[in-house]
Amino acid sequence: MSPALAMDLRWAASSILEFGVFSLAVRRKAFKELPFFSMYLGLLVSSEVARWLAYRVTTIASPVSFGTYWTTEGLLVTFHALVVYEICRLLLRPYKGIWRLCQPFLFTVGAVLIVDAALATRDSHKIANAILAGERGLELAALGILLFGLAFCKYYGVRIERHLLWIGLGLGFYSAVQVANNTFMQHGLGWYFLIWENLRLISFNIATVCWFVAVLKPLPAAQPVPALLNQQEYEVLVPQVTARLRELNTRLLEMWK
Amino acid sequence: MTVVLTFVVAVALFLTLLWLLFGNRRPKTDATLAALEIKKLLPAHCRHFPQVQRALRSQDEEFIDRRAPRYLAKRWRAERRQVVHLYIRGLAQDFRGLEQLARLIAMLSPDIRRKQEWEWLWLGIQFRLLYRMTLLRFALHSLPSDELMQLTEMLTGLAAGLEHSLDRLMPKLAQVKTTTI
Repeated sequence: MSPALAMDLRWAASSILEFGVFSLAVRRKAFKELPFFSMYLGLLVSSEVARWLAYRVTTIASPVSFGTYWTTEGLLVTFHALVVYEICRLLLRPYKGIWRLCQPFLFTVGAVLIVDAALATRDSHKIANAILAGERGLELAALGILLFGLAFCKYYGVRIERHLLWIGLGLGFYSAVQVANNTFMQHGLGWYFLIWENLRLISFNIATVCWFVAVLKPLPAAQPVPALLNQQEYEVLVPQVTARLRELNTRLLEMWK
Repeated sequence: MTVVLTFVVAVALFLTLLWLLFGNRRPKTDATLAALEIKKLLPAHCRHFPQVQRALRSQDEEFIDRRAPRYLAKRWRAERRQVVHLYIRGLAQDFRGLEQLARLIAMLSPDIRRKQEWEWLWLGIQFRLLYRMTLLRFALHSLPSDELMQLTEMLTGLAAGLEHSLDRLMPKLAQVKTTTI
């Protein structure tokens, strides 16, 4: 089998997998709970079609193909970040206080990493390097937001539903691989291109399998929003707990004097 | 160098992701607080302090030294240390219960104070450090019973204060599904 044919077959298999996940997500009516995730999957399928058409109509090395690839890639990375935000929102929004506390952190992490990505792009002299640096920065921003959101869930003991867990794993895994992969590509020589391309495809296939697992079973019904405490109840409980926790630490400290 | 560093960072971030997603996950039960009884979060071990205090009495030590053979006295001391050690661990469990309660309150509060959350986070870190150091100190020397008594009194006081407030909040707290309990 020639390398070109092997590549075409892998690409076809990848596209079929993406289409399968998208169809399953539509069947599960994922757009109701996860509109950005559903749009992302739809965008994936349409990107594959657009790229294939661009490669067929022109050539793989043509400016049209280059433009199509990176425009769709830019859209996908943006939607990727939106899906991450959607997951954090779904997990934490029922708990109004925590969500209000968490949001500024997520925005700050996202903004800092995007600014960093923009600076890295500006510093790159070659267009290819600038694109790689920009993409790496955006992937890092998405991963940073996801980790921060999940850290809040872990700290407060918020339960992560099975489907969100698998979606998060897929997104996070792909981002982590791309961060490393793009850095190697920026610093590597021409020989790394083939590895870069394969790693990109394989990691994306693994992420797609994670999303497939996420939508394989029917999505659970939305949990009822818990009744929140009123301000008065909060004012009564909080000082008691704080005072005791503080006192316990003071006593432990006294043991050391 | 940058390449190696980025690779290490990417691996570390992915491992963190795995830990946040899969680490310390309980079985797939419907772990509502109602089923687990919210009052289990209140300090419980500190109630056994009188028994622990009896075990620490110096008169007992003098008596054992005078009457019992040496090997028996040695075993008695080891067992006594074991009791105190378990008790200190129990106190830490009490603290964790309180901490969990604090987080539940935060989860159910429509408007939590950032300063308050930072304080709880800081107290938790501080406690963990102090607890480890106390265990270490206990392994090297013995802890005076007076200090243990002070700790216990404080935790018992907390139980009394909170039980009343929690009775009214139980139905709301019971609705929250968590992974950590």
